[in-house]
Amino acid sequence: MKRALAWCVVVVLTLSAGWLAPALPQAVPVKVGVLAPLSGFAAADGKSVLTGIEIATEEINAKGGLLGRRVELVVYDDQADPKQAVSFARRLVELDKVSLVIGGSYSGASLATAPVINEAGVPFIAAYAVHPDITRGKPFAFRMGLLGPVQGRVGAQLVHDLQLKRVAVLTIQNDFGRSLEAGFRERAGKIGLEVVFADLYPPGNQNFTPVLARIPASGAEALYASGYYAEAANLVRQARALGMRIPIIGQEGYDSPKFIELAGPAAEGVLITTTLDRDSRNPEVQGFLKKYRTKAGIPADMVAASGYSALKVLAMAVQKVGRLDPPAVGWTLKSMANLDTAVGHVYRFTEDGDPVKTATVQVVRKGEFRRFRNYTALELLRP
Amino acid sequence: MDWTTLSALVVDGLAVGSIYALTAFGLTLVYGLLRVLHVAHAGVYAMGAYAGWLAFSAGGGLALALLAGAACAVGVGLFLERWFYRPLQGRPPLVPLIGSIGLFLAMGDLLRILFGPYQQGFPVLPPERVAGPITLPQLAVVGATAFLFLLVYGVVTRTPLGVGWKAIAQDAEMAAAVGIPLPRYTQAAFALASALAGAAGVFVGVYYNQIYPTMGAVPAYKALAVVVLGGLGSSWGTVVAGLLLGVVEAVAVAFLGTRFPPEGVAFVAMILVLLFRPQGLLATEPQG
Amino acid sequence: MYAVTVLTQLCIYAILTLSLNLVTGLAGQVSLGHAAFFGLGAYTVGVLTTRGFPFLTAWLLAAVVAAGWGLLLGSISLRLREDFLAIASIAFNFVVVAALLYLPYFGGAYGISGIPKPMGSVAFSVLVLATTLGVAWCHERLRRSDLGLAWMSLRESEAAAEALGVDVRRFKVTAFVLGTGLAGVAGGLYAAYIGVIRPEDFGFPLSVTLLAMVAVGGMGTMWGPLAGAFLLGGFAQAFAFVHNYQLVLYGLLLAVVMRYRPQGLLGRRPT
Repeated sequence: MKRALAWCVVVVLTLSAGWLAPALPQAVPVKVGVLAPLSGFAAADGKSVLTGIEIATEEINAKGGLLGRRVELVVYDDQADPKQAVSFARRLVELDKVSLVIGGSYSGASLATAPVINEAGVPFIAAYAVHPDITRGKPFAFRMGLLGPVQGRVGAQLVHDLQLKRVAVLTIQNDFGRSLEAGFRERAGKIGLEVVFADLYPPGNQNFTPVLARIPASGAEALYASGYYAEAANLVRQARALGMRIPIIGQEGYDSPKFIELAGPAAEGVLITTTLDRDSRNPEVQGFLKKYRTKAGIPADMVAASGYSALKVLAMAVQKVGRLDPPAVGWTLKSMANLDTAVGHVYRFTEDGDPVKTATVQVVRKGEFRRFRNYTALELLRP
Repeated sequence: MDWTTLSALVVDGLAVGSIYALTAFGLTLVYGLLRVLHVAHAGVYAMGAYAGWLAFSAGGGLALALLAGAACAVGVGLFLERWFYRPLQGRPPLVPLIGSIGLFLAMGDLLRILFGPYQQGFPVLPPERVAGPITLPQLAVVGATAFLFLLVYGVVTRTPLGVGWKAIAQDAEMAAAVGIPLPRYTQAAFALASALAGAAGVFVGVYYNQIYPTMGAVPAYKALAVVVLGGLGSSWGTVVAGLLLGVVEAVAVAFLGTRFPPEGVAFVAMILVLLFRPQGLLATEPQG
Repeated sequence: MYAVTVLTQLCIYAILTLSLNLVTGLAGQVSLGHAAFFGLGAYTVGVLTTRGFPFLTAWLLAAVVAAGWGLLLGSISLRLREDFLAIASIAFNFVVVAALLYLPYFGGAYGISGIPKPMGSVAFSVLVLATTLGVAWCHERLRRSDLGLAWMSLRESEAAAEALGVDVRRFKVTAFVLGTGLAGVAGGLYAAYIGVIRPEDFGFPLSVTLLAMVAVGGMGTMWGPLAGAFLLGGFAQAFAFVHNYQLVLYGLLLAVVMRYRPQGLLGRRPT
């Protein structure tokens, strides 16, 4: 009996030593919350953005961490559902007590969580969601992604620069598509483009043949079509199968190696306005592209690059302030200028927390995204 | 709109409709026997698609992919019949319906866990035109579907299965009383339904060059609409309804635009049919 | 506050499941479109309060609007047998979502954001809790009343009920009106709680979730739907640590409960 007891004590002590060891004096990590759709219909983007954020985390920690402390991610799957997202947002700020939050989800969920996190006084940055209200009126909410209307304007300018006048516009029926369309039309009106055909389609649509069939009759010289890579792949494939040869211009929704894979040869020559420039000479971009390729096994996309940059930019602001002081982080971010990120050159941030940054046009050449041209004119890019 | 475009649309509609028909046929068959909406059928369809894709990735062609897809689907379908539907017979239909939905969700997510959330390409047939505006995938889908339904017709008319199924659908108790072995016939129905669904999954992958874990969601809704339009219980009505829906959707969208979702066409049609002709467009005797 | 947030959410689910129970659990009418009424209530409050109407007025109207459409679906249900009704309700759900998405008046794809909270957070949570208790009380009164008995006879066998002189039509429609009206009440609360609503939040998947909650919890009783709401509603939060496997576990839960305990966790075994 005594021997058994002795053995029990030994075992317990050994196990406790295992428990105690990490509790020995060590700097408290900086907790960064991440909300992203990891299951459900948006799981692909959730995975991409999380991988991008993880790469940024590894980089920061390899260089000694944030303010000398290790960055630790606290990740929740919001399934791009606002109801879930709100509860998880509260959980992050109250239970997990995170110091920063990266919003890796779609606009719907981000719209619901931004107010909660902003109210708690925690800096929040939306990686790629486009809805303007996410940042509006919230001193602690920021955005890394290009605003929809700005990107739309760039698209119109591109059509003009291609010396084409008559354009067909096909819009995905959600806030992403609508905001792109609004910006496109606004700019188109100013520079004399003619929208000869316009239509909408629901997200998830796979059969575009019926609507594409009407375009040739309109005399369009180019097609400006919004969508995510799955829809875009079908659209482009079916357009070419119908015999349509006019240039097709997409946006960052197309920006994924999956688009090229799924569209096959039809992807060749497709132009997209986006913010990840594969031919950038910025070592940060090239470094990110390489790291992502190694970590994920597939080439990077805009969503991943946005997640990566979102964390890096926020961390930069914190590092500059020297401590985790949300209001100070806020002003500092808005005072930072001319940042070279993986998703474009940021001139500055607006009062609302949105970036004024460059856009790039990429073209699919030999199965890869390559730079076509960049747009840097402030007049075009100001939100 | 010129004739070439119109005919391209009709062929496209037939191809899409064929896929609806393949999926919905099995659903109607099962409903006739069990009076249950087998929502998990859409999960079987997705699994068949992935099985076909795996066969293709291993180097197989379209035929092998179809075989693999159908075989996998049959396996899953038979398992569901045995483990889930059979023990629940006699329960209020809501019970298997909810469980079926749960199974469908679980199957979709399982596919995501196994294969990742990204779409996978399925480039078995290049989308080249072979005869006028008709592309190779369209030809394959429509042709193969026609062939499959011919086979089914043969099975239904030349084997006791067809008569047996009809008898069970009309009155299960009487059918059992006259000696029809219900479990065996039900299994056969599930097998056939699942095989067709698995084939449909492969066809969709080939047609759109995409398979993804949640691909079952759309056919789940569309198949319901088709089943109702065809007459809940009339399998051949379902086939016609499926083809018709595909063509009408294509042509309607082309002329009216996609202002409202194409599902809208299906669902509005469905509501109208439910209200004014609940036995379906083709059924002859009204079902109460 | 986190706990309060989660509790508020679960209470809203509870109101929804109890209201659905009136239609499906008690009266036996399978409704797979309940989320549409939730959405109609939410949008009523959303549209009105962002245009300056006081919350209480908007909230009341939310119930009325939802019940009005419920009257329509109820009338349609009179012509349809069980399975057809289920499908019709699905179709109804889709059509409502499409209308909210495509009609410009409702904000379209952007939805409605900036919905004001009518009172402080704590007071609001108390309101939600009070409403839930009120709905539960109503539910019990109804269940034990003559109306409730009539519903249950309807559920067991429509033909028999009719033969016994039960006015099947009136009771069916009443169930729909009451059930959907209460869903509208929940919708109004939800709009104020979350501040931003979009058409896809009220789609078919939510209807499925609600029906699953009722079925898994146990139809027909009061505790069943409540258990379903709290269990399945809190599932994601409770299982946050398996974040990658939530959906598959959820689906399996539904399948397994229906397979091995078809009356629901707290339901009574059928006689």
